[in-house]
Amino acid sequence: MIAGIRKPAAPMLTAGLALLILIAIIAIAAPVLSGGRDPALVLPHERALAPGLAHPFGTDLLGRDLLARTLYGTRISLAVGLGVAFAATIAGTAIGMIAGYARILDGVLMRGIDGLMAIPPVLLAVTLMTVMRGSLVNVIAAIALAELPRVARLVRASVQAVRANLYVQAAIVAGARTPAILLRHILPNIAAVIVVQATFIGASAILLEAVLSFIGAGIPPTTPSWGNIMAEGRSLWQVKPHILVFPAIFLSLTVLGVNLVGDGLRNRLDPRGKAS
Amino acid sequence: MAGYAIRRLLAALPVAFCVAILVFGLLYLAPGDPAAIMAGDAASPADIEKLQATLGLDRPFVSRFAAWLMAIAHGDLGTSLFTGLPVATLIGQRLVPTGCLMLAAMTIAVCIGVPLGAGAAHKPGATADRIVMAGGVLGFSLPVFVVGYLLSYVFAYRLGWFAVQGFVSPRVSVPGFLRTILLPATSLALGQSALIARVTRAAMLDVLGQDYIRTARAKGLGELHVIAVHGLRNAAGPIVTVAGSSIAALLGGAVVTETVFSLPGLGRLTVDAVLRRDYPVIQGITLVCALIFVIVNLATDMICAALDPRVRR
Repeated sequence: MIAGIRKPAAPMLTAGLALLILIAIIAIAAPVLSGGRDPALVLPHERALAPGLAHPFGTDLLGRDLLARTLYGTRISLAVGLGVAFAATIAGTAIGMIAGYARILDGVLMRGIDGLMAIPPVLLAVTLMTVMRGSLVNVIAAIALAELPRVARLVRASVQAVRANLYVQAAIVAGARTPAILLRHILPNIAAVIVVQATFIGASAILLEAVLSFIGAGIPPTTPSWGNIMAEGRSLWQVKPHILVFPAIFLSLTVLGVNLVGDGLRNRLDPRGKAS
Repeated sequence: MAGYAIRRLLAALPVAFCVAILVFGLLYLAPGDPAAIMAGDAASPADIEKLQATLGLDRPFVSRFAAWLMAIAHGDLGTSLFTGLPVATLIGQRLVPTGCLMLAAMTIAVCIGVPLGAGAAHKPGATADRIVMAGGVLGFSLPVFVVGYLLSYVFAYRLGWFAVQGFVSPRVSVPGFLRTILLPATSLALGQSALIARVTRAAMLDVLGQDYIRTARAKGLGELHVIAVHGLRNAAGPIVTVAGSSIAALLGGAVVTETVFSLPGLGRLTVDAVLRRDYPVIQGITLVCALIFVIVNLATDMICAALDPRVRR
């Protein structure tokens, strides 16, 4: 085998966790950190101001304070990231476990999953969002449906690998019922893989929400989200780049933080980086 | 090989059928009555009912689905609610810019990702490997629009090397084409190149530990020859597969890139259709993109089988 395989990259995991904790604090303390500025307050005579003392991040085209909007936007991104990671992982795990364990249902379930997977996630989420009303819950549901196939496939493959093991065969012979086998004998053995995948799903969901809001198919503009702040600044981005810069930095750092955590966790589980 | 091709094609058919059901289901769920929208504000309820009957909107789900499938088989994707033009025409007009963008982005992603991944795998754990792996995380963490605006601001707006927006067909002018396509393609390719670098590295780590690599080195072949010919050739399967499946991310990313760079492609059409709630256009684009994905995956399978006879089974 190859000598000198890289040691688990713990510094990346630590850096990622530190970033995420910082971002979570910003989300919780947004009202305090923005100095009591109202993210929805329109100041018609202070439109598109560059960053300054009164407005540290400047104001947008309607004269709303960008510091407050960007900090409050953290809440939307974290809610979407967590919400989608949970919803897509739970639904995807359920489908994947059934497909991986019950051979009769495998064909039907996986063709459906393949069909979902064939539609690019951005387009699937966009299509769903044009049919549904633009609200936080609907955005989470649409993105979760778009992300679900990846979880289902991974879980199915993992279940198929684990079910051949002797301890599963032993449980079957001992007369354990199917739900018990799935939940007590199989799930704990594939949980680590699922957790890593859930982290990457969270990162991808935060990006997807920003894309949806950026093109006008996501969170309505009355609620500040990084995507719709950037959408606001789109028309004047060359002359007023400050409107785009701050949400862009926050978005990039948040996604980076989540990906670093996911990567660090994966390196612990699979130091050779094979399962990429 | 022919038998394998036919088996793969037959396996793709149910997937395409599932895509059709999904897309039609979404169209079915879309709010608002297409007949009422097409008839206009002045129409009486009786007129709308008559139009509903002509369009077949009063028939049950299965019968409408069958009619819709038949129409698609004849190249009819419906009519845009906003422009009144056939959706197939609208999509046809936009295929060239998006196709060029996809090809350019894929080329850039492979040209960046494969050498970096192979280089990283050459000495695992070395500084170069760590830089590539860390750069990889950064690469797929940066949102497409952030990279797009950054590149556009520096290289187009400030330095003026590239066009800020628009598209010139390569048939009109090749330099003009490159000036308009390189920045959007690069911003789209960055995330995918990170993914390709990772997969290349993992695949190469497997291959470089094999006996035939040791044999190649032992008989005195140059290191570059060993890596490029004996290594990459055998690691090609996973790399081709990930490059093929990245078409989904590229098609999705095109929605953003084409908005940032005002490229008149499918992505831009999607955004316009979203703003106007033009459901038939959105469904048409979704269906076409899903079919492109299915076809690209089929092609990927064929390439893998051609590269490695063991895949054909």
